[in-house]
Amino acid sequence: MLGVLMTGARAGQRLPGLAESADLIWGAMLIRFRPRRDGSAWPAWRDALAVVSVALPLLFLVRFSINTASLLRTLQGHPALMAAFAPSLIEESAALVIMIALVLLRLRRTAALVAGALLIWFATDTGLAGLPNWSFFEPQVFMVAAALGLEIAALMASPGPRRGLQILAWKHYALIVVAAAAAGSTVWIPETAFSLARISLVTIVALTLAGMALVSRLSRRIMVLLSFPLYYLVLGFAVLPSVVQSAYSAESGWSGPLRITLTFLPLGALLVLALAAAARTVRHTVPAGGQDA
Amino acid sequence: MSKQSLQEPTFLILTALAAGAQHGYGIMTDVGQISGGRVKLRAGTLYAALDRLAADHLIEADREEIVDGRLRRYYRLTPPGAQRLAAEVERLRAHTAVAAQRLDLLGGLT
Repeated sequence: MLGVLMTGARAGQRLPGLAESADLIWGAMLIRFRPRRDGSAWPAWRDALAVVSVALPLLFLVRFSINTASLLRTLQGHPALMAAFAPSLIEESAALVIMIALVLLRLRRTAALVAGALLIWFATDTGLAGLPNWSFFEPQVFMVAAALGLEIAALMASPGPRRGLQILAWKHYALIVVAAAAAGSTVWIPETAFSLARISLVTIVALTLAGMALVSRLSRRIMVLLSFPLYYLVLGFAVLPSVVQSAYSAESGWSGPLRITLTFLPLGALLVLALAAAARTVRHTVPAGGQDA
Repeated sequence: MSKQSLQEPTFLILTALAAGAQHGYGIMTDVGQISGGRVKLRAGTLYAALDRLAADHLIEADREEIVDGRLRRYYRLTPPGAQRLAAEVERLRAHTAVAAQRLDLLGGLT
């Protein structure tokens, strides 16, 4: 691809244009994620991704609904605070409704574009893009970013909602709603019983993942995919408060090496997996002699 | 093999290769000429299409050469690819014949 780009370059042109760069990246993604016909396990992972593309927005919608109800109850009688929170609540609910609508309408590429735009907006809004401003690296922030990234990957690397909606039955939707509601309802536990909330959340997540691991090969793959954002959910509510003094403290330990390691560990693991998968793909699909790329 | 009609860029790529094995840039240039400058393939789109056509066994790698220090791969049409192109040509010919006949009846054919 690069050879063709360079051959077709104008005299004196030193950099590819924006459209050429975007086309190159898009073409590379189409090639990388095209379904292989060699009987590998990739089709099974594509089914798992297709299910995740439907389940993830639904999980977030349920959790968001419960959290919002809890927040509104807390803010009752405080109109000024309610007004301050209203814009962000409206933005989040609009984003979720749009994503769910696109998923139900089976608009895979549009949903991926919208999720990409949401990720960019979220990264700039939370300061996630402001590396290395460590004080903004809350696990909650990473959880949302991880979920959006997973949704984009699920939409791009699988047949998307069309296939996911074929696989999911009413009992699966019920399980999704129950699991998300159970996990989300821990916010209703009073702050004085924060330990109880943490234990409840970890127990619910562990039971859900254990159940998924026992049901089928497909659900095990889904469990592996969902463990990425769930890791940050558990990290933010359960692990870090027991490691550092307070979940919302900006004091020492919050920006320390342990927190940074725990925060970036899954990203490092994902990078290693992606490189290993890419290397495996190159070994199996490129003949000796390389490519005209 | 898909029985759906070919998209225009795919049709033009197969048409370009029907004249003989070509490399990526040659295909891009030829497609532009065949379409009278209307269809302009970019590198990413072209190679995604070539990858898909190779996976469908409609084209295959012919040979590789080193040109100006860069590896250049040539592609050629396979027999199934030639059959697919021929089938598409017949389909389009039948459609255009019907369209021309009806326009003639309307008195609008120039």
